[in-house]
Amino acid sequence: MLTSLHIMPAYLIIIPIVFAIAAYLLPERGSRWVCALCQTLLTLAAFHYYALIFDMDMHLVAFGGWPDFAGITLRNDHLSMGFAAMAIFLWWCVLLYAFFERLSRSYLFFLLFLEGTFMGLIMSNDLFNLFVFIEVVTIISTMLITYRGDGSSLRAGFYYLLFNNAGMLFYLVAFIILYQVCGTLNLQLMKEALPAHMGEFPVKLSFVLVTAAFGVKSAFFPVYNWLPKAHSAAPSAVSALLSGLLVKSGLYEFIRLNEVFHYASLDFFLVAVGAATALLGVIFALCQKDIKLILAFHTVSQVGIMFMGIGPFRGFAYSGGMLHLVNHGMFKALLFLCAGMIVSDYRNRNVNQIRGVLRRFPLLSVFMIVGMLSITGMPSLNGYIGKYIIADSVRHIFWEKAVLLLVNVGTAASFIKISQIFTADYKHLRIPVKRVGLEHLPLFLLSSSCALLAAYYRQLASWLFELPIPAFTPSDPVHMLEYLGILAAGYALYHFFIKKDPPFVRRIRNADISFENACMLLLGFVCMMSVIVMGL
Amino acid sequence: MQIMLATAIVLIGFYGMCTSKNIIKSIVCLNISEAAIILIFLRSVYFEGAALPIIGLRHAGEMVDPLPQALMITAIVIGASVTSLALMISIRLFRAYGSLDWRMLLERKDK
Amino acid sequence: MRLSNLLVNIARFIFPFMLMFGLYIILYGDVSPGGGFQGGAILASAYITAYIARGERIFEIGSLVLLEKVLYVLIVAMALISVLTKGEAFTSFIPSGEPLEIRRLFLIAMNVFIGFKVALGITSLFSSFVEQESVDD
Repeated sequence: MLTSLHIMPAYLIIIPIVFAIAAYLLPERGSRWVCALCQTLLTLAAFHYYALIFDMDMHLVAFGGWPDFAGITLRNDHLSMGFAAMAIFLWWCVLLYAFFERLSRSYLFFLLFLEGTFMGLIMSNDLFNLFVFIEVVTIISTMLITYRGDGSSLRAGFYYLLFNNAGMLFYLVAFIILYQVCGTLNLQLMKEALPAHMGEFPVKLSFVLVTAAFGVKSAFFPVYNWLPKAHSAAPSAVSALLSGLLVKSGLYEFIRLNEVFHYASLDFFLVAVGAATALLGVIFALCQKDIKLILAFHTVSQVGIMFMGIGPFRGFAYSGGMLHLVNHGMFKALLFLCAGMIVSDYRNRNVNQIRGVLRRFPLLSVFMIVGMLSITGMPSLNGYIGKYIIADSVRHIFWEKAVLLLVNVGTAASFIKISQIFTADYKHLRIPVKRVGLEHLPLFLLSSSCALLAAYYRQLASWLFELPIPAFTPSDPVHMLEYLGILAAGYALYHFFIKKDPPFVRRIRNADISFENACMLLLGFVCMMSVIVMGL
Repeated sequence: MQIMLATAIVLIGFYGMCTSKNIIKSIVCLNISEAAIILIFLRSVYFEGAALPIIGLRHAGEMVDPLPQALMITAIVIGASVTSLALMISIRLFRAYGSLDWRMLLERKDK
Repeated sequence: MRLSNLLVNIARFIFPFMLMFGLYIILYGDVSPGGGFQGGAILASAYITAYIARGERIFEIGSLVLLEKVLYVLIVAMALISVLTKGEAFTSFIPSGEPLEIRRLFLIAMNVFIGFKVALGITSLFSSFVEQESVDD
């Protein structure tokens, strides 16, 4: 009875929470083993559970035996199990890395607790449970962001907390309207009850409000400003988790709500928002000097690319967006962990001043180069797969193709700018090489997953997410020539425009949106979307 | 009528968040908006002559819906936790920077 | 700042009634409006009133924080006992066949634990705000 199918989803939530308590109570020497034990148990439970539900369409568990329309239900299908697998893998990497960075018990407590609540988020099946888990994830990640307690992390955490909570207020209003219309909050029952009401004004308004709330969570165009601050001020392991996983949870919730009801009239607007996010992210990333800020802005732009695929919610673009989501989690976590090691060693975050990384950290430089090649889209690594599928499915639409090309060129330019940290000048030739320790293991795992996911993307798509993929051969030399062309264009952009640090670059670097303006932009976003949905 | 009043309160809270210079005011306005949204929800399921939702008191069709009440208790708790965490962070911000102004907090470019 | 004698004496007089009222709301939470969180907030406000009237703390911070953590572990443990008895997580551990008076015990116990945890939490937050000391979170 203890391992029956009925209780397995609850185990995925319970195990990290119970072990978080254990990690807090036990002395510091034992906490490593506690984390390793927790992750091992969780991996075994997830494998066992996934093997059992692999052939089912969807597995529903109701807590306490209450009926569907009134009780809390958990639901697992291929999409949520794919996210669970990604989450467990990324948490393994982050916990292995955290042994190197710090080992304080409350930090591990919050990290493991975050894992438990994230599992709950991806498995929840009714609107209110989703709200509770999203808010708890926000609260705990705020505590992790402000963990170090210095000024910039406090500022970033405060802005993050208030702004995300303001976004979720819109979600609460939408959920009031949906409860009035449907009489229930269970997603499956709503999916049956809503098509009769799709033309009514309140339901359209609730769709707009929900999209705005998840737009705040996923950092879309007008409301993205919390992300660079939060992800650059957090400790590196937490940044890797936030960029790799938690920002995608907004997209995951967007997908879940779109499975219930979807308005095609907003498609063009959503793709435009994704395109604007992608372009703005790259423009801001090119003008920054802080390495973690650059990586955080790249998260914004890659999420924009993903949304250009996922927004329309159909066809090959959706598959491309989902694949890019998984791939981006891998290489962004890799880049953040590498950047974390470099920053903590050099005690300096300025890309123009860090030098000699290749000499001091040879193994880490290899992994970091793998990550940088992935994000710029080299054809034999995994970043290329998602980007190519999205670009291929929009090849008839000129402006989207142009946006994707510009974003690729900008990404290449920005990473060429980062790659100057590998060069060494004379005073760095005498630095001793840093020893290889346990902290290189997660980097190795992530970079080998980058290579493996590129080779086995079809199996990934069909096992994990059940998505259709268009046929193409990544090993075609045409793709490699395109990539080299993009790299050349990126180098030209960097050399002629960015390297000398002209005044407009400096102005863009110092541009900032205050909280008041961000709230006004959020309201403007909601108004614009409601105008579009009502009008058509 | 009451729901429109509560919606006005929500918008007032949002207006306060958009224009307040003090971070404590932003927290208070967030709280106001959240309380008003909870009020909207509770009022929206009530109808005239509804009875308490206790089994056996009256026929089920005449009772007020108890599900929103249970959900909104959780929402109140979440709002209280977020408020307390935000206040805690604002105290530490004050100790670090000596000011509670949003502009001052955003303009500093120190490390 | 000197508080007026009227305020101090009324606060002293009203303190046990506030405690009683808070306990009433916690214990009757399953049949009347109220419950764990609400009663805990009332208990916390009783302690805060006593603090304001007296000018100094009437409790020990260290033991409050410790008790709060113990209560947290107890709450999670209560929710998980049902894994062993019923095979389901996060529900009552008492089997469904029992009469109503015994099944109520789970709700009352959860309400008591949550109420005390909330009271301790809000009180320690308040004292850390006011006295400029930090409580480890």
